[in-house]
Amino acid sequence: MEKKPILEIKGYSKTYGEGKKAADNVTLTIESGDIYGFIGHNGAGKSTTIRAVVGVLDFTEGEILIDGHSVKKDPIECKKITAYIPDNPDLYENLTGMQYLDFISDVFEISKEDRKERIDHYAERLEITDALGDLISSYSHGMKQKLAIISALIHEPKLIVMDEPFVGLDPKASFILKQIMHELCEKGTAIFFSTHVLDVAEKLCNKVAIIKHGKIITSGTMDELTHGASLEEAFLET
Amino acid sequence: MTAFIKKECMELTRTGKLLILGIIFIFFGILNPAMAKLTPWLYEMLSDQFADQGLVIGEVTVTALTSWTQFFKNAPMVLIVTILLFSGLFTNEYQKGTLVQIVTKGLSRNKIFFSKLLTVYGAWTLLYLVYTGITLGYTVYFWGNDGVTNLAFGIFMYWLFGIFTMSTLVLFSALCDNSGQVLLGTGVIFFAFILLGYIPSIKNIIPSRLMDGLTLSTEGAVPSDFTEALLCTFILIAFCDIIGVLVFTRRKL
Repeated sequence: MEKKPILEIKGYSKTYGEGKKAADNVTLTIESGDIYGFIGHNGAGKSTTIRAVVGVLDFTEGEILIDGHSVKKDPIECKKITAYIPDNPDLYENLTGMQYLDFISDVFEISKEDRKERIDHYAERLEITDALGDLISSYSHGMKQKLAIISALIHEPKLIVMDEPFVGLDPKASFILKQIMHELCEKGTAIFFSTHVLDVAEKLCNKVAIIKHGKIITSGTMDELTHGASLEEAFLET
Repeated sequence: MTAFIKKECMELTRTGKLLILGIIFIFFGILNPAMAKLTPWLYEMLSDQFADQGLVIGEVTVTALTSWTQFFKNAPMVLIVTILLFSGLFTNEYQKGTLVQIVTKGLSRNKIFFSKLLTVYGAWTLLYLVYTGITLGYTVYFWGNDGVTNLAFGIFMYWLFGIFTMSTLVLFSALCDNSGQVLLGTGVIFFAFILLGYIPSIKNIIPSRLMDGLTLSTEGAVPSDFTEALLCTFILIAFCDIIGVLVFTRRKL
Protein backbone atom coordinates (compact mmCIF):
# COMPACT_ATOMS: atom_id res chain seq x y z
CA MET A 1 0.00 0.00 0.00
CA GLU A 2 1.42 3.35 -1.06
CA LYS A 3 1.62 5.85 1.79
CA LYS A 4 0.36 9.36 1.18
CA PRO A 5 -0.31 12.29 3.51
CA ILE A 6 -3.92 12.37 4.68
CA LEU A 7 -3.66 14.97 7.42
CA GLU A 8 -1.11 17.77 7.24
CA ILE A 9 -0.98 20.31 10.04
CA LYS A 10 1.41 23.11 9.12
CA GLY A 11 2.36 25.76 11.66
CA TYR A 12 -1.04 25.71 13.34
CA SER A 13 -1.41 28.13 16.25
CA LYS A 14 -4.44 29.06 18.29
CA THR A 15 -4.47 32.04 20.60
CA TYR A 16 -7.33 32.75 22.97
CA GLY A 17 -8.58 36.17 23.91
CA GLU A 18 -6.22 36.72 26.82
CA GLY A 19 -3.22 36.13 24.57
CA LYS A 20 -2.71 32.59 25.84
CA LYS A 21 -1.46 30.24 23.14
CA ALA A 22 -3.32 26.93 23.35
CA ALA A 23 -1.45 25.62 20.31
CA ASP A 24 1.86 27.03 19.13
CA ASN A 25 3.23 26.30 15.67
CA VAL A 26 2.01 22.69 15.63
CA THR A 27 3.26 20.78 12.59
CA LEU A 28 2.37 17.13 11.99
CA THR A 29 1.84 14.83 9.03
CA ILE A 30 -0.33 11.74 9.30
CA GLU A 31 -0.17 9.35 6.38
CA SER A 32 -2.59 6.74 5.14
CA GLY A 33 -2.35 3.60 7.25
CA ASP A 34 -0.95 5.47 10.26
CA ILE A 35 -2.34 5.10 13.74
CA TYR A 36 -1.01 8.31 15.18
CA GLY A 37 -1.19 8.87 18.92
CA PHE A 38 -1.38 12.40 20.28
CA ILE A 39 -0.20 12.53 23.85
CA GLY A 40 -0.09 15.27 26.41
CA HIS A 41 -1.15 16.38 29.85
CA ASN A 42 -4.54 17.91 30.52
CA GLY A 43 -4.62 21.35 28.92
CA ALA A 44 -1.57 20.62 26.75
CA GLY A 45 -3.44 21.55 23.55
CA LYS A 46 -4.61 18.14 22.31
CA SER A 47 -8.32 18.93 22.10
CA THR A 48 -7.65 22.42 20.74
CA THR A 49 -5.69 20.89 17.88
CA ILE A 50 -8.22 18.12 17.30
CA ARG A 51 -11.15 20.54 17.27
CA ALA A 52 -9.38 22.67 14.67
CA VAL A 53 -8.73 19.61 12.50
CA VAL A 54 -12.40 18.62 12.51
CA GLY A 55 -13.52 22.19 11.80
CA VAL A 56 -15.20 23.03 15.09
CA LEU A 57 -12.61 25.58 16.17
CA ASP A 58 -11.50 28.48 14.03
CA PHE A 59 -7.82 29.38 13.91
CA THR A 60 -5.79 32.30 12.67
CA GLU A 61 -2.31 30.92 12.01
CA GLY A 62 -1.16 27.95 9.98
CA GLU A 63 -2.84 25.57 7.64
CA ILE A 64 -4.56 22.22 8.01
CA LEU A 65 -5.00 20.00 4.96
CA ILE A 66 -7.03 16.81 4.77
CA ASP A 67 -6.22 14.75 1.70
CA GLY A 68 -5.06 17.97 0.09
CA HIS A 69 -8.18 19.99 0.95
CA SER A 70 -7.85 23.00 3.21
CA VAL A 71 -9.97 22.84 6.37
CA LYS A 72 -10.47 26.61 6.11
CA LYS A 73 -11.14 26.98 2.40
CA ASP A 74 -12.91 23.72 1.69
CA PRO A 75 -14.43 22.59 5.02
CA ILE A 76 -17.32 20.58 3.61
CA GLU A 77 -15.04 18.49 1.35
CA CYS A 78 -12.76 17.84 4.35
CA LYS A 79 -15.65 16.76 6.55
CA LYS A 80 -16.95 14.36 3.94
CA ILE A 81 -13.78 12.30 4.26
CA THR A 82 -13.23 12.77 7.99
CA ALA A 83 -14.80 11.13 11.01
CA TYR A 84 -14.68 12.63 14.47
CA ILE A 85 -15.31 10.71 17.65
CA PRO A 86 -15.33 13.08 20.65
CA ASP A 87 -14.56 12.02 24.20
CA ASN A 88 -18.11 12.82 25.22
CA PRO A 89 -20.71 11.38 22.84
CA ASP A 90 -23.38 14.09 22.82
CA LEU A 91 -26.14 12.59 20.70
CA TYR A 92 -29.81 13.35 20.13
CA GLU A 93 -31.40 11.65 23.12
CA ASN A 94 -34.92 11.72 21.73
CA LEU A 95 -34.06 9.60 18.72
CA THR A 96 -33.54 5.87 18.70
CA GLY A 97 -30.09 4.55 17.84
CA MET A 98 -31.34 3.48 14.42
CA GLN A 99 -33.00 6.84 13.72
CA TYR A 100 -29.73 8.58 14.62
CA LEU A 101 -27.71 6.35 12.29
CA ASP A 102 -30.27 6.86 9.53
CA PHE A 103 -30.03 10.61 10.04
CA ILE A 104 -26.23 10.54 9.78
CA SER A 105 -26.47 8.28 6.71
CA ASP A 106 -28.85 10.80 5.14
CA VAL A 107 -26.36 13.60 5.85
CA PHE A 108 -23.64 11.63 4.05
CA GLU A 109 -26.12 10.53 1.35
CA ILE A 110 -25.32 6.85 1.84
CA SER A 111 -27.54 4.47 -0.12
CA LYS A 112 -30.06 2.33 1.78
CA GLU A 113 -28.18 -0.88 0.91
CA ASP A 114 -24.76 0.42 1.96
CA ARG A 115 -25.98 1.92 5.22
CA LYS A 116 -27.78 -1.28 6.19
CA GLU A 117 -24.70 -3.38 5.47
CA ARG A 118 -22.36 -1.07 7.41
CA ILE A 119 -24.71 -0.55 10.35
CA ASP A 120 -25.32 -4.30 10.63
CA HIS A 121 -21.58 -4.98 10.45
CA TYR A 122 -20.43 -2.50 13.10
CA ALA A 123 -23.46 -2.89 15.37
CA GLU A 124 -22.93 -6.64 15.40
CA ARG A 125 -19.25 -6.29 16.25
CA LEU A 126 -19.84 -3.72 18.95
CA GLU A 127 -22.77 -5.78 20.27
CA ILE A 128 -25.31 -3.00 20.11
CA THR A 129 -27.71 -4.42 17.49
CA ASP A 130 -30.49 -5.19 19.97
CA ALA A 131 -30.39 -1.69 21.44
CA LEU A 132 -30.64 0.20 18.14
CA GLY A 133 -34.42 0.38 18.45
CA ASP A 134 -34.23 2.00 21.90
CA LEU A 135 -34.12 5.70 22.64
CA ILE A 136 -30.59 7.06 23.01
CA SER A 137 -31.65 8.58 26.33
CA SER A 138 -31.80 5.04 27.72
CA TYR A 139 -28.18 4.27 26.69
CA SER A 140 -25.22 4.13 29.03
CA HIS A 141 -22.14 6.27 28.27
CA GLY A 142 -20.44 3.24 26.71
CA MET A 143 -23.40 2.49 24.44
CA LYS A 144 -23.54 6.11 23.32
CA GLN A 145 -19.82 5.91 22.56
CA LYS A 146 -20.42 2.76 20.48
CA LEU A 147 -23.19 4.53 18.57
CA ALA A 148 -20.92 7.54 18.00
CA ILE A 149 -18.25 5.16 16.66
CA ILE A 150 -20.69 3.52 14.22
CA SER A 151 -21.93 6.93 13.08
CA ALA A 152 -18.33 7.99 12.50
CA LEU A 153 -17.42 4.94 10.43
CA ILE A 154 -20.60 4.72 8.39
CA HIS A 155 -19.29 6.83 5.48
CA GLU A 156 -15.95 5.01 5.25
CA PRO A 157 -13.75 8.03 6.04
CA LYS A 158 -10.14 8.44 4.96
CA LEU A 159 -9.25 10.11 8.24
CA ILE A 160 -10.57 9.24 11.69
CA VAL A 161 -9.95 11.74 14.47
CA MET A 162 -10.63 10.56 17.99
CA ASP A 163 -10.50 12.39 21.28
CA GLU A 164 -9.93 9.87 24.09
CA PRO A 165 -11.93 7.18 22.25
CA PHE A 166 -11.64 4.48 24.89
CA VAL A 167 -13.19 6.47 27.72
CA GLY A 168 -16.35 4.73 28.90
CA LEU A 169 -15.91 1.64 26.74
CA ASP A 170 -15.91 -1.75 28.43
CA PRO A 171 -12.78 -3.91 27.93
CA LYS A 172 -14.37 -6.00 25.21
CA ALA A 173 -15.60 -2.97 23.27
CA SER A 174 -12.14 -1.37 23.63
CA PHE A 175 -10.56 -4.52 22.23
CA ILE A 176 -12.99 -4.60 19.31
CA LEU A 177 -12.42 -0.91 18.59
CA LYS A 178 -8.67 -1.52 18.48
CA GLN A 179 -9.26 -4.40 16.07
CA ILE A 180 -11.43 -2.17 13.88
CA MET A 181 -8.75 0.55 13.96
CA HIS A 182 -6.11 -1.92 12.76
CA GLU A 183 -8.37 -3.24 10.00
CA LEU A 184 -9.18 0.25 8.76
CA CYS A 185 -5.50 1.20 8.74
CA GLU A 186 -4.68 -1.85 6.69
CA LYS A 187 -7.18 -0.53 4.14
CA GLY A 188 -5.39 2.84 4.07
CA THR A 189 -7.41 4.88 6.57
CA ALA A 190 -5.40 7.26 8.75
CA ILE A 191 -6.23 7.49 12.45
CA PHE A 192 -5.26 10.40 14.66
CA PHE A 193 -6.24 10.11 18.29
CA SER A 194 -5.50 11.67 21.63
CA THR A 195 -5.09 9.65 24.77
CA HIS A 196 -3.85 9.88 28.32
CA VAL A 197 -3.29 6.15 28.47
CA LEU A 198 0.30 5.60 27.39
CA ASP A 199 -0.01 1.81 27.35
CA VAL A 200 -2.77 2.06 24.76
CA ALA A 201 -0.71 4.41 22.62
CA GLU A 202 2.36 2.21 22.90
CA LYS A 203 0.54 -0.94 21.82
CA LEU A 204 -1.69 0.62 19.17
CA CYS A 205 0.22 3.38 17.44
CA ASN A 206 2.98 3.26 14.88
CA LYS A 207 3.63 6.99 15.34
CA VAL A 208 3.27 9.35 18.27
CA ALA A 209 3.48 13.07 18.94
CA ILE A 210 3.88 14.56 22.39
CA ILE A 211 2.44 18.02 23.00
CA LYS A 212 3.24 20.23 25.99
CA HIS A 213 2.03 23.77 26.63
CA GLY A 214 0.71 23.89 23.07
CA LYS A 215 4.02 22.93 21.44
CA ILE A 216 5.00 19.65 19.86
CA ILE A 217 7.93 18.44 21.95
CA THR A 218 8.69 15.40 19.89
CA SER A 219 7.09 13.27 17.18
CA GLY A 220 7.93 10.28 15.04
CA THR A 221 7.70 6.51 14.96
CA MET A 222 7.45 4.66 18.23
CA ASP A 223 11.06 3.44 17.92
CA GLU A 224 12.36 6.93 17.22
CA LEU A 225 10.69 8.21 20.36
CA THR A 226 11.37 5.43 22.79
CA HIS A 227 14.79 4.14 21.64
CA GLY A 228 13.89 0.79 23.13
CA ALA A 229 12.59 2.21 26.42
CA SER A 230 8.89 2.47 27.28
CA LEU A 231 6.70 5.29 26.00
CA GLU A 232 6.01 6.23 29.62
CA GLU A 233 9.72 6.82 30.22
CA ALA A 234 10.04 8.79 27.00
CA PHE A 235 7.01 10.87 27.93
CA LEU A 236 8.26 11.63 31.41
CA GLU A 237 11.64 12.71 30.03
CA THR A 238 10.06 15.40 27.85
CA MET B 1 -30.80 19.89 4.57
CA THR B 2 -33.75 17.53 4.20
CA ALA B 3 -32.06 15.11 6.59
CA PHE B 4 -31.78 17.77 9.30
CA ILE B 5 -35.38 18.96 8.81
CA LYS B 6 -36.49 15.33 9.09
CA LYS B 7 -34.50 15.00 12.32
CA GLU B 8 -36.00 18.21 13.70
CA CYS B 9 -39.52 16.95 12.92
CA MET B 10 -38.78 13.62 14.59
CA GLU B 11 -37.56 15.45 17.71
CA LEU B 12 -40.63 17.70 17.69
CA THR B 13 -42.81 14.60 17.75
CA ARG B 14 -40.70 12.63 20.24
CA THR B 15 -40.45 15.46 22.76
CA GLY B 16 -44.24 15.88 22.63
CA LYS B 17 -43.90 19.55 21.62
CA LEU B 18 -45.95 19.09 18.47
CA LEU B 19 -48.67 17.31 20.43
CA ILE B 20 -48.80 20.04 23.09
CA LEU B 21 -48.90 22.78 20.47
CA GLY B 22 -51.50 20.84 18.47
CA ILE B 23 -53.77 20.53 21.50
CA ILE B 24 -53.41 24.23 22.38
CA PHE B 25 -54.04 25.44 18.81
CA ILE B 26 -57.06 23.11 18.46
CA PHE B 27 -58.37 24.24 21.85
CA PHE B 28 -58.17 27.93 20.92
CA GLY B 29 -59.48 27.16 17.41
CA ILE B 30 -62.62 25.69 19.02
CA LEU B 31 -62.74 28.34 21.75
CA ASN B 32 -63.15 31.22 19.27
CA PRO B 33 -66.58 30.18 17.87
CA ALA B 34 -67.53 28.61 21.21
CA MET B 35 -67.05 31.92 23.01
CA ALA B 36 -69.10 33.65 20.33
CA LYS B 37 -71.83 31.02 20.57
CA LEU B 38 -71.92 31.23 24.37
CA THR B 39 -71.92 35.04 24.53
CA PRO B 40 -75.76 35.47 24.50
CA TRP B 41 -76.13 32.73 27.11
CA LEU B 42 -73.44 34.35 29.30
CA TYR B 43 -75.11 37.74 29.06
CA GLU B 44 -78.49 36.18 29.85
CA MET B 45 -77.04 34.39 32.86
CA LEU B 46 -75.46 37.58 34.14
CA SER B 47 -78.38 39.84 33.27
CA ASP B 48 -79.92 39.60 36.77
CA GLN B 49 -76.65 40.70 38.38
CA PHE B 50 -76.34 43.56 35.89
CA ALA B 51 -79.99 44.51 36.54
CA ASP B 52 -79.25 44.79 40.27
CA GLN B 53 -76.58 47.33 39.37
CA GLY B 54 -78.97 49.19 37.14
CA LEU B 55 -77.56 47.91 33.88
CA VAL B 56 -79.99 46.66 31.28
CA ILE B 57 -78.68 44.40 28.60
CA GLY B 58 -80.57 44.32 25.35
CA GLU B 59 -80.66 41.50 22.87
CA VAL B 60 -77.17 40.32 21.99
CA THR B 61 -76.66 39.46 18.36
CA VAL B 62 -73.82 37.13 17.54
CA THR B 63 -72.43 36.95 14.00
CA ALA B 64 -69.45 35.44 12.25
CA LEU B 65 -67.59 38.64 13.08
CA THR B 66 -67.90 37.88 16.81
CA SER B 67 -66.12 34.57 16.23
CA TRP B 68 -63.36 36.21 14.16
CA THR B 69 -62.95 38.88 16.82
CA GLN B 70 -62.18 36.08 19.26
CA PHE B 71 -59.81 34.60 16.67
CA PHE B 72 -57.69 37.76 16.53
CA LYS B 73 -57.88 38.21 20.32
CA ASN B 74 -56.59 34.70 20.99
CA ALA B 75 -53.96 34.66 18.25
CA PRO B 76 -51.31 36.30 20.51
CA MET B 77 -51.88 33.50 23.02
CA VAL B 78 -51.06 30.75 20.53
CA LEU B 79 -48.11 32.77 19.28
CA ILE B 80 -46.71 33.16 22.79
CA VAL B 81 -47.10 29.43 23.46
CA THR B 82 -45.21 28.71 20.23
CA ILE B 83 -42.40 31.07 21.31
CA LEU B 84 -42.20 29.35 24.70
CA LEU B 85 -41.92 25.87 23.24
CA PHE B 86 -39.37 26.80 20.58
CA SER B 87 -37.17 28.93 22.82
CA GLY B 88 -34.59 26.16 23.19
CA LEU B 89 -34.19 25.66 19.46
CA PHE B 90 -30.43 26.27 19.36
CA THR B 91 -29.65 26.83 23.04
CA ASN B 92 -30.57 23.25 24.01
CA GLU B 93 -28.14 22.00 21.39
CA TYR B 94 -25.41 24.40 22.56
CA GLN B 95 -25.83 23.19 26.13
CA LYS B 96 -25.87 19.49 25.22
CA GLY B 97 -23.09 19.80 22.63
CA THR B 98 -25.09 17.88 20.03
CA LEU B 99 -24.33 20.28 17.18
CA VAL B 100 -20.60 19.52 17.35
CA GLN B 101 -21.22 16.01 16.00
CA ILE B 102 -23.34 17.33 13.16
CA VAL B 103 -21.02 20.17 12.18
CA THR B 104 -18.15 17.68 11.91
CA LYS B 105 -20.17 15.46 9.62
CA GLY B 106 -20.16 17.74 6.63
CA LEU B 107 -23.42 19.56 7.17
CA SER B 108 -22.73 23.26 6.74
CA ARG B 109 -23.80 25.66 9.47
CA ASN B 110 -25.91 27.55 6.92
CA LYS B 111 -27.89 24.40 6.25
CA ILE B 112 -28.34 23.71 9.95
CA PHE B 113 -29.57 27.26 10.56
CA PHE B 114 -32.00 27.28 7.66
CA SER B 115 -33.23 23.77 8.49
CA LYS B 116 -34.17 24.93 11.97
CA LEU B 117 -35.68 28.14 10.61
CA LEU B 118 -37.78 26.25 8.06
CA THR B 119 -38.90 23.76 10.70
CA VAL B 120 -40.14 26.58 12.94
CA TYR B 121 -41.79 28.36 10.01
CA GLY B 122 -43.38 25.07 8.97
CA ALA B 123 -44.64 24.28 12.46
CA TRP B 124 -46.12 27.79 12.90
CA THR B 125 -47.76 27.62 9.46
CA LEU B 126 -49.22 24.16 10.02
CA LEU B 127 -50.52 24.94 13.50
CA TYR B 128 -51.89 28.32 12.41
CA LEU B 129 -53.71 26.58 9.55
CA VAL B 130 -55.25 24.17 12.05
CA TYR B 131 -56.22 27.09 14.32
CA THR B 132 -57.73 29.00 11.38
CA GLY B 133 -59.37 25.96 9.80
CA ILE B 134 -61.19 24.97 12.98
CA THR B 135 -62.45 28.50 13.63
CA LEU B 136 -63.48 28.87 9.98
CA GLY B 137 -65.31 25.52 9.96
CA TYR B 138 -67.36 26.21 13.07
CA THR B 139 -68.00 29.85 12.13
CA VAL B 140 -69.33 28.97 8.69
CA TYR B 141 -71.41 26.14 10.20
CA PHE B 142 -73.06 28.38 12.83
CA TRP B 143 -73.35 31.74 11.12
CA GLY B 144 -72.09 31.55 7.57
CA ASN B 145 -69.28 33.96 6.84
CA ASP B 146 -71.21 36.97 5.58
CA GLY B 147 -70.19 40.43 6.67
CA VAL B 148 -66.55 39.55 7.17
CA THR B 149 -64.56 41.32 4.52
CA ASN B 150 -60.96 40.64 3.46
CA LEU B 151 -60.77 37.86 6.02
CA ALA B 152 -58.13 35.86 4.12
CA PHE B 153 -55.89 38.94 3.97
CA GLY B 154 -56.31 39.59 7.69
CA ILE B 155 -55.47 35.96 8.47
CA PHE B 156 -52.45 36.11 6.16
CA MET B 157 -51.17 39.25 7.90
CA TYR B 158 -51.28 37.63 11.31
CA TRP B 159 -49.50 34.59 9.91
CA LEU B 160 -46.78 36.89 8.57
CA PHE B 161 -46.48 38.60 11.95
CA GLY B 162 -46.00 35.12 13.39
CA ILE B 163 -43.26 34.43 10.85
CA PHE B 164 -41.55 37.67 11.86
CA THR B 165 -41.76 36.66 15.52
CA MET B 166 -40.33 33.22 14.67
CA SER B 167 -37.42 34.88 12.84
CA THR B 168 -36.75 36.98 15.93
CA LEU B 169 -36.92 33.87 18.08
CA VAL B 170 -34.47 31.98 15.84
CA LEU B 171 -32.09 34.96 15.81
CA PHE B 172 -32.03 35.16 19.60
CA SER B 173 -31.81 31.38 19.89
CA ALA B 174 -28.71 31.39 17.66
CA LEU B 175 -27.26 34.30 19.62
CA CYS B 176 -28.00 33.44 23.25
CA ASP B 177 -26.70 30.76 25.60
CA ASN B 178 -29.93 29.74 27.29
CA SER B 179 -33.70 29.72 26.79
CA GLY B 180 -34.26 32.47 29.37
CA GLN B 181 -32.19 34.92 27.35
CA VAL B 182 -34.01 33.88 24.17
CA LEU B 183 -37.40 34.50 25.77
CA LEU B 184 -36.25 37.82 27.16
CA GLY B 185 -34.90 38.99 23.81
CA THR B 186 -37.91 37.84 21.80
CA GLY B 187 -40.30 39.17 24.44
CA VAL B 188 -38.66 42.59 24.47
CA ILE B 189 -38.94 42.85 20.66
CA PHE B 190 -42.53 41.56 20.70
CA PHE B 191 -43.74 43.98 23.37
CA ALA B 192 -41.62 46.86 22.04
CA PHE B 193 -43.52 46.67 18.76
CA ILE B 194 -46.83 46.47 20.64
CA LEU B 195 -45.89 49.66 22.53
CA LEU B 196 -44.60 51.36 19.38
CA GLY B 197 -48.04 50.66 17.93
CA TYR B 198 -49.40 53.39 20.24
CA ILE B 199 -47.28 56.05 18.54
CA PRO B 200 -49.50 57.44 15.76
CA SER B 201 -46.68 58.53 13.47
CA ILE B 202 -45.18 55.05 13.15
CA LYS B 203 -47.96 52.66 14.06
CA ASN B 204 -48.86 52.03 10.42
CA ILE B 205 -45.42 50.97 9.32
CA ILE B 206 -44.34 48.52 12.03
CA PRO B 207 -44.99 44.75 12.09
CA SER B 208 -47.46 44.90 14.98
CA ARG B 209 -49.86 46.67 12.58
CA LEU B 210 -50.31 43.24 10.97
CA MET B 211 -52.16 42.14 14.10
CA ASP B 212 -55.00 44.52 13.20
CA GLY B 213 -56.49 42.29 10.50
CA LEU B 214 -59.93 42.66 12.01
CA THR B 215 -60.03 46.36 11.11
CA LEU B 216 -60.51 45.21 7.51
CA SER B 217 -64.01 44.09 8.57
CA THR B 218 -64.85 46.45 11.38
CA GLU B 219 -63.26 49.80 10.62
CA GLY B 220 -63.38 49.90 6.87
CA ALA B 221 -59.63 49.43 6.42
CA VAL B 222 -58.47 48.17 3.04
CA PRO B 223 -55.50 45.90 2.25
CA SER B 224 -53.50 48.78 0.77
CA ASP B 225 -53.49 50.44 4.22
CA PHE B 226 -51.08 47.71 5.33
CA THR B 227 -48.58 47.98 2.47
CA GLU B 228 -45.93 49.81 4.51
CA ALA B 229 -46.27 47.46 7.46
CA LEU B 230 -45.99 44.45 5.13
CA LEU B 231 -42.88 45.84 3.47
CA CYS B 232 -41.31 46.68 6.82
CA THR B 233 -42.07 43.19 8.11
CA PHE B 234 -40.55 41.49 5.05
CA ILE B 235 -37.40 43.58 5.47
CA LEU B 236 -37.18 42.81 9.20
CA ILE B 237 -37.67 39.07 8.55
CA ALA B 238 -34.82 39.12 6.02
CA PHE B 239 -32.69 41.17 8.45
CA CYS B 240 -33.27 38.74 11.35
CA ASP B 241 -32.53 35.72 9.16
CA ILE B 242 -29.33 37.19 7.71
CA ILE B 243 -28.02 38.32 11.10
CA GLY B 244 -29.06 34.96 12.57
CA VAL B 245 -27.10 32.93 10.03
CA LEU B 246 -24.06 35.22 10.37
CA VAL B 247 -24.12 34.84 14.16
CA PHE B 248 -24.52 31.07 13.97
CA THR B 249 -21.73 30.52 11.44
CA ARG B 250 -19.29 32.41 13.66
CA ARG B 251 -20.40 30.99 16.96
CA LYS B 252 -18.14 28.74 19.02
CA LEU B 253 -19.86 25.38 19.59
